Amino acid sequence: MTRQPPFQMHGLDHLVIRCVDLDAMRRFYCDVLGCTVDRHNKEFGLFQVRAGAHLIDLVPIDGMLGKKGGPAPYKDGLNLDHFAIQIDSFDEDELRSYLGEHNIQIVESGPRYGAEGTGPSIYMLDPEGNTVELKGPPDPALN
Amino acid sequence: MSKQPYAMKGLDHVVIRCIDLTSMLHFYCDVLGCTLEDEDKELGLYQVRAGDHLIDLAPVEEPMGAHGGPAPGRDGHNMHHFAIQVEPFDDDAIRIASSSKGSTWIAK
Repeated sequence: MTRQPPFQMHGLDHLVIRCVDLDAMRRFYCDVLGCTVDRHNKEFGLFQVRAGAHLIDLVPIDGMLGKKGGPAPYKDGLNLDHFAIQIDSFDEDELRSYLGEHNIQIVESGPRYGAEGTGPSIYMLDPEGNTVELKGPPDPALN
Repeated sequence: MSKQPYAMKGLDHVVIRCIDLTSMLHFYCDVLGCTLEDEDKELGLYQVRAGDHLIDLAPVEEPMGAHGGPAPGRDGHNMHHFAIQVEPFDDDAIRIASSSKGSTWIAK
């Protein structure tokens, strides 16, 4: 008989991004997107920012943790295509205008399927080229 | 500068570029216990549910995964790792259950 996992999954907890320029990444995730600094472990080279209920961890590649992953992320051959953050309200014009103030371009927008169903979303690039999606609440008309 | 026109709730999904979809589905579904929720074969996107969130698999030979160029190599990754919340956490039980399905553990 196939053994079942001895646990239940709650969901994602955090993800860890390898980066080159921590200051630029911190500005984007905190000042632009609105994450807050949770913890900074300089010894390990781990900078943790909170995105709602979860954490996005930034690991500079020249720190203790980051060195384990070898060179800086390549332009291609990446393991992470993108990740998405849930936001509580979604007004595309407002988002576009807000992100424009920070010179962040929306590279794609449209309804997408996510963990809570299909809803509006936008894609942008962080300062090091990782694709970040902001995902609005599911749209009842699309589900 | 104005304030963000939203509040963040948390992560929604991560999309992993992969080479061998079958072995990835075996790991995420048979070992970890995710369930296959949706698949878009035209796009090449296979979505498995991990509790409240999704882990999406994008094979590099299919249209979506092909956007990121060559397959991920041994290093130069953009993502160090990601974490899934589980409960309960019984180290020994997890070790036994996952190794019985061919998964190996790495020391952390």
